[in-house]
Amino acid sequence: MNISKELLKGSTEILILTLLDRSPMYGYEMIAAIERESGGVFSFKEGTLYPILHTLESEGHVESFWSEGDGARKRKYYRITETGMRYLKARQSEWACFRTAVDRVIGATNT
Amino acid sequence: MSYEREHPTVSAYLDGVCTWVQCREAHAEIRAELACHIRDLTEAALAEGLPEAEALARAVAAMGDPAEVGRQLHQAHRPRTEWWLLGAATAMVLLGLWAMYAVSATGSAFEGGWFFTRQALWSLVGLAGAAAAYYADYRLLRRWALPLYGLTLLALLALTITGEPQLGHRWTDATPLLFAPALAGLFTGREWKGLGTWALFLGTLVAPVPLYLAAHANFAAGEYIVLFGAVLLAARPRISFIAAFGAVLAGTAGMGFWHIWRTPYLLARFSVWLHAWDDPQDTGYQLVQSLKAVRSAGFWGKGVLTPVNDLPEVHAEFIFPFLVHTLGWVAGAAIGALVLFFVVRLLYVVRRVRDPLGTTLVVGIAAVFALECVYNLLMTLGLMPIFGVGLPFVSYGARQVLYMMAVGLALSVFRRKDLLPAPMC
Repeated sequence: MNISKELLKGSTEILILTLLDRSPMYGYEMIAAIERESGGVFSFKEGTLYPILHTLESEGHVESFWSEGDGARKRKYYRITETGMRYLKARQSEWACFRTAVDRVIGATNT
Repeated sequence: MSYEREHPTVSAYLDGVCTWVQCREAHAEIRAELACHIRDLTEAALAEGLPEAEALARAVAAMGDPAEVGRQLHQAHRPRTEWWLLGAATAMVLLGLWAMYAVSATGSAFEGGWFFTRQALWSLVGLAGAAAAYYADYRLLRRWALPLYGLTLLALLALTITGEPQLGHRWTDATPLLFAPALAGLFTGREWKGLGTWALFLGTLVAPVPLYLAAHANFAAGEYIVLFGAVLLAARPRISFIAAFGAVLAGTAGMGFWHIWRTPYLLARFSVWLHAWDDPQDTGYQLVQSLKAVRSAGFWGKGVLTPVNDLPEVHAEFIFPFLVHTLGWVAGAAIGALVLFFVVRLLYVVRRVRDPLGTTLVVGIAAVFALECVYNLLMTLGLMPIFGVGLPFVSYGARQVLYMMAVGLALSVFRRKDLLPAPMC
């Protein structure tokens, strides 16, 4: 199913930050993880991930560093910052609230 | 980069993206990051058995419209303004102008008359200086730090030799702030080892202090040491340097106490501070008048243009008690809050900036402002011994120009925070 762009836009940040909360990652890793864990529902235009990452960094929620990882070539990794973790918690509660409210209104009973 | 050169399609795609990113300095890193991603995609496609040309084409296509990516990336790499810092500094400058007007208009200052015009003049010059500092590239410090330090040291030496008058406003007291950018430039981007570094470290630590002491600029000497320590810690050197600084600090503190003990007028400052009311007409005069002015203020002050004739140096060190006396305790608390907010905002800039030179530079500036602001407020309230420290922006002085330029510099560092590449480690 193709999810509308508008719906995707609002949730990308929370997806990225949740992944980075577990461990630092580089861009390609993040996209692969999101596709995998969402069961293929979320599939990105790969390039559009980077403006989001760079904006998150500009706002201080993540920080980047170049690293060789497991002896591979140098990649640009991102890790979440303390400010980022607080932001993530806030967005997670916001999402929980949003989700419950929508479910209530549309009367979803079978989940 | 060589991957790019081997594959013109990748290069073309990256060109398409970077056309939209105005910040040229960010290009190299963006290209490296995106090329890396394309390479990973290509390798995944090759693993599925696709021929190379097709794998590459699929990878590039999967990246999305280069114009769209480029436009969005541009948004992430634009100059930033720290409005709260700018606002707080502006508020303090305006407060200072008001204060000078009030002091002149009520004839409270024995010189009467021109404090306001002079302060306005300094503020205008300061504004021009701040604008220059704002648009300049602070990274020039990397190259010019040593000459700048040398120049400031020479200026300090000249001032000490020619001897400024003991009272009144002295350029010697303004020099610590001048040392801040030089120290920041000297301590960042440096391998902390070798004889050269030790020589530099000890030289910069030790050189100015005897000059300050010879000029009887005792507060400036302490200020320099605080500044040095702050910049040193922010530069994250090897532990041996921090330990050495700690040792020198302990040694100097010991010597400092001995020096104060042996110097009558310095010892007097401390005993006056503790026993001001014992001699309110003579040695305790300044502190007693300051406390009286503050205590008699009431919540809303004695009136906005009340003459305050008993406060010495009312336009300078004791401007805060003057303001509290005329505007009240509530206003006094608000001014204190504004001053603290200004300092806190400088620290916020330190947190948000990634460039090590930028961070160290703003730490140095913040250290000087924090020390002067807090000390002035505390001493006028009787909580610290009185020294010749004014309240930045609010007290009268040509030093206004330097303070404003320092804020311009801090704003300049914040402005570039998203325009610089991440440290490649």
